[in-house]
Amino acid sequence: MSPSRRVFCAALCQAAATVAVAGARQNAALPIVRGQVDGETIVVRVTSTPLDAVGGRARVASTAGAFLVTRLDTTVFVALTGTCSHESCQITDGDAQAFVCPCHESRFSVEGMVLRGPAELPLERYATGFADGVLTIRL
Amino acid sequence: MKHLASGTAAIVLLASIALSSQQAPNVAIDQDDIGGVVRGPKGAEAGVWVIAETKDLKTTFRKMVVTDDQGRYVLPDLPNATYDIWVRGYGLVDSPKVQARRGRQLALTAVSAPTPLAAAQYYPANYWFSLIRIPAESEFPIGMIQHQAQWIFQTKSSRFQMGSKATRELHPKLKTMGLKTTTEALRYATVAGQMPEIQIFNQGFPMFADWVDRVAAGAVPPAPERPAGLERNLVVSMWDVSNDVPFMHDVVSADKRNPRMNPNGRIYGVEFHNDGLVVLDPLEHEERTITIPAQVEKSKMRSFTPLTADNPSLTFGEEIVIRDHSNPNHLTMDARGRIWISAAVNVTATPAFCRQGSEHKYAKADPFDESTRHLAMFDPRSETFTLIHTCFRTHHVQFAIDGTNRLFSNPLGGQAASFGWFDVDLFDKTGDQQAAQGWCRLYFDVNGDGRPDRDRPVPGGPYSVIQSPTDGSLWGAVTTTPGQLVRLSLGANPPETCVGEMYQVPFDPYPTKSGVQTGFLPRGIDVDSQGVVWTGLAGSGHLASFDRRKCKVLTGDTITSGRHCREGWTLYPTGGPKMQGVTADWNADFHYYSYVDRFDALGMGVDTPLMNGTNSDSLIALDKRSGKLITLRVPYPMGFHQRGMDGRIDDPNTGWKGRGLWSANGTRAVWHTELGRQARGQIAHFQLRPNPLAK
Repeated sequence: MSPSRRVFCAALCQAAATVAVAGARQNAALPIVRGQVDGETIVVRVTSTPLDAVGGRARVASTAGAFLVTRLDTTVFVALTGTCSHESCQITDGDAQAFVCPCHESRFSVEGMVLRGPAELPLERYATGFADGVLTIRL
Repeated sequence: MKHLASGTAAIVLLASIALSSQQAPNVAIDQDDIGGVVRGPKGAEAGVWVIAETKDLKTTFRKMVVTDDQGRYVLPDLPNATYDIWVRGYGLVDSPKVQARRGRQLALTAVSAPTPLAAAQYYPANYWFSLIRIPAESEFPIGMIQHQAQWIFQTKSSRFQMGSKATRELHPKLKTMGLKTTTEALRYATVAGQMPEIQIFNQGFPMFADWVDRVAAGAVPPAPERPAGLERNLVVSMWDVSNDVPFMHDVVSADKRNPRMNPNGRIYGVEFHNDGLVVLDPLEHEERTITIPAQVEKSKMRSFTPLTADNPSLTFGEEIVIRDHSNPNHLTMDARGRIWISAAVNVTATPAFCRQGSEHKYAKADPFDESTRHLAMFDPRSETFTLIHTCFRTHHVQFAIDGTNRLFSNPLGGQAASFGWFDVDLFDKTGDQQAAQGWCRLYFDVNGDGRPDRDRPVPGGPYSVIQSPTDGSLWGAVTTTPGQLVRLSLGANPPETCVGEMYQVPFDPYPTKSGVQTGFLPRGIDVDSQGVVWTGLAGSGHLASFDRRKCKVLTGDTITSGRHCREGWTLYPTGGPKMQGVTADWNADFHYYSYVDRFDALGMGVDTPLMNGTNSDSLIALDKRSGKLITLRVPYPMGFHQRGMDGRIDDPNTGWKGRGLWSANGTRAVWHTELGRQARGQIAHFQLRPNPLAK
């Protein structure tokens, strides 16, 4: 198994376990973590948030957009646009396997690929950085 | 001969000059009408609207008509009230309002627009939207967007009218927030409030910012044509309903299978944002809203719209104004006058009988674990609801026309290509909600043996549903680019005999080069009495028909492509304004849903196909006699964003007065409309007279 596939599976398993333990309904609102806009960058302090642990996922809210963030490894994050590629609704929901658009129920993988339409296009992915507990998402 | 014709023309011209210098002639009216002539600086104003509005009744009421070629008008059958009356038209600004009561002649004076920009303030949203600059066909692919059609799809919105004043201008609050650029302001707007008031895809921000900046700098869209011909025969009556944050998704007036049912009765509408069933009595001008209940505490159910906001709303601040746990989407009426509503009535997880391991025959074939919307039935006689937790997700609901009284629904995207149904007759007899449910996923039948190839699913969850009167098959449209129609034949023993088909909309990503007539993005659907399917193409701006009888190939591997029956399609361009940068036969129009007037409720003939002019304040009908599309426009308040229509014949013996189409303003942001925060929900009645002066 490749490293990227391993961390991907780890993230999914963690997410699945979180849902199972919490006994949440299958399609629940994603936790929200606040990000601050600094020029063309969104700055997110992940300590004590759902993104503090590997496998954590959250919707990062800011005044410049919303982002679907998954922590794949200690320093590896995936940040996707929070805007659905179908009709530009805000993606606020998720289940153990996917991000789910509440408008038309398109499902996207942690990496933004379309798992189920009506969306046809993947979610745009943003470059990220991580140091000293701070995640940066570059617009 | 030439000389004689010129002489005749001169006499007509002289007569018309003489007439225009005299007192305006009376038009024939009854005691409950107002009529007269509209004149402007250049004489009679043809093809302009005369609008009457009153707040004297139990709810605000409006009636709107169009002037004939001599500027004459008749506002017919007005309820007893005092009206504000004024003139609106392309090339004009609104005339001063005058007050009048019915039974009188009223000459009106139109006011010319002082500038093209002033005139443009009355243009429908699609004209303003046409100013947006779409990247040229040759610039694609751009990032993940492969071609111009995909970009246009992303640019348009079903939520509210793109091009309205609220979308083409920055909200005043954005100008006070210290945001440095238009792009920054738009980025904020897309994440402000429970339901952001503008939708922009990521790559689209520079394009939208450029559009907003050019509008702010005084850009003016092309002018629409004034109503002409049949379009001048329209009478629109409108009632305010519901609250000031409504989302009136749809209305129903009669049993679609029998539009003479429920004559002069109440109109029912769903108010999605706050779980309402709206009831309008158009005779008494009375309306109320009933809350749709659920089987569990609503706090345990998913709300369609988040109950929190990332950032304060530009309109509502921190206030939470939408609580849509039931999110009622669509409704229809049965032969007993009961209202069947697609609405969430329970949690997303389905009952056990829907799932794997169940003995329910449809669950054994295709189990469903989740269903986010179900059924609610309202009986007007008892004013009670019956709630049904369906295994299949509901979205649009339509009754069978094969005599079985099954209520069919499409799943939208959520449950792949499938259709579900609820056997109302069985339920009425037994009360058994489980036994009354059935559903089939769609699988191709490549060899044509009448059995589904379960390893070859039909892709895409349909957005719509209708049953064909000719063979009982179910049809739906899949809202993608190019998009496709899907067809389900139930066969003699569903689900074993359920087989699917798919027919892609004719499409070429580079139509300017290929010259191929190309459309994309079907949404709504209906079918005429011959089994021809009609759908509005919301992406490209076409009305399209598909006639399966023309298909040369119906089996074999090729059918799984969906591209095997180009010959079944006919596309009718709407003639809407083109967006800048687009050379293909695509335009700025958006068409949410489609309707076939199978029983001539409008008066343009049986089987007249229509679609919503959702961002042009209009219903668009195909005049089969001329082959042309006609636009039935609501002039006021601007922003009549509809998602459907429904026909009813109240009295077949009273001509145009006894028939018409009903529709609602289905915007998610009614405060985007001309009336701003004063706006409420609106239900409108469209009637077509034999001429503009019929009373």
